[in-house]
Amino acid sequence: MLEFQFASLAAFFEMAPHGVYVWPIYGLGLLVIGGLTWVNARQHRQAIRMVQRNLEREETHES
Amino acid sequence: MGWRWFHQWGSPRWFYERAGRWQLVCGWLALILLVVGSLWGLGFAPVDYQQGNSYRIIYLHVPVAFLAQAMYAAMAVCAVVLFVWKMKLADVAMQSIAVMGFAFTAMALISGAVWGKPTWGTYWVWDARLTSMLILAFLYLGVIGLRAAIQDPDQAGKACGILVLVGVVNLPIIKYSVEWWNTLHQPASLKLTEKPAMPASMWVPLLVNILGYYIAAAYLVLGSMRAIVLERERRATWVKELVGRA
Repeated sequence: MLEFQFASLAAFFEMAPHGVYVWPIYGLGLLVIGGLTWVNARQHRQAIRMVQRNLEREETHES
Repeated sequence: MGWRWFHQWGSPRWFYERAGRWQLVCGWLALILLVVGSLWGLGFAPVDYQQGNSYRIIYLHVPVAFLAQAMYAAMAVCAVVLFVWKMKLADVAMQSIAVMGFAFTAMALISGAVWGKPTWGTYWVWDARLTSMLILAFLYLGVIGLRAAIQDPDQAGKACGILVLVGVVNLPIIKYSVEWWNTLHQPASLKLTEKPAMPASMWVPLLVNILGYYIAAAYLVLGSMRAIVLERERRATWVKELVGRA
């Protein structure tokens, strides 16, 4: 059942005649999921920084 | 036993403390499944006798198109939970799912258009399936925009919830569009009730990728929800303690 369908790696990447349609789509998928992962991590870091700033402000008000 | 499993979701802290671990597990699981499923579909599944290699877009297109609709349904369930139980976390989930759902809908539309070019000879036709999916994308955008336009989070949540519930009418239209109208889009490739029309060597990797993308969506939604919970609960003692310790 698991047989590589292309004669060579070059043929795999060419995926004639449709490589030009297929590969960019998978690149886009990678970009979207990777990009959203990055956005989430950044938003999380920013939220932590915001709470830290608020804490520091509270401390200076108290002192 | 009882309702404790459900009431726990009422506590943003309970969720935040656990979601990090769930997110990690989902992330790695999705990565493994998607690498295996995509390589399998791209390199090892047999060539389609009619469409040639272009059909390999199916291993991304079908999973993300499923998710585009499933995430809208999930958002509607969150809206119901928000209205019935006033659960804050349901609104957080609604906010996260709107963004991720739009991303998956856009991917479904773009991958479909690119697949259409070699198969139908055109990127776009105003066909029932394509048009109803485009409306789904606009519904997601509407929900995102509505939240951005209302400053009070409680009011924004309620307004978004109503829009989400009204938009549910589009889901059966998408699903049955290929049966109710004569469309260029092919009918469903996989059905729960019937044997697939393609051989196992084609649908097994598709199933792997469907599972992979579902878990990837869970990973993305959990990550986004964690950040939003911190933002919204920034004045809560537990958040201050958590950040103070870090």
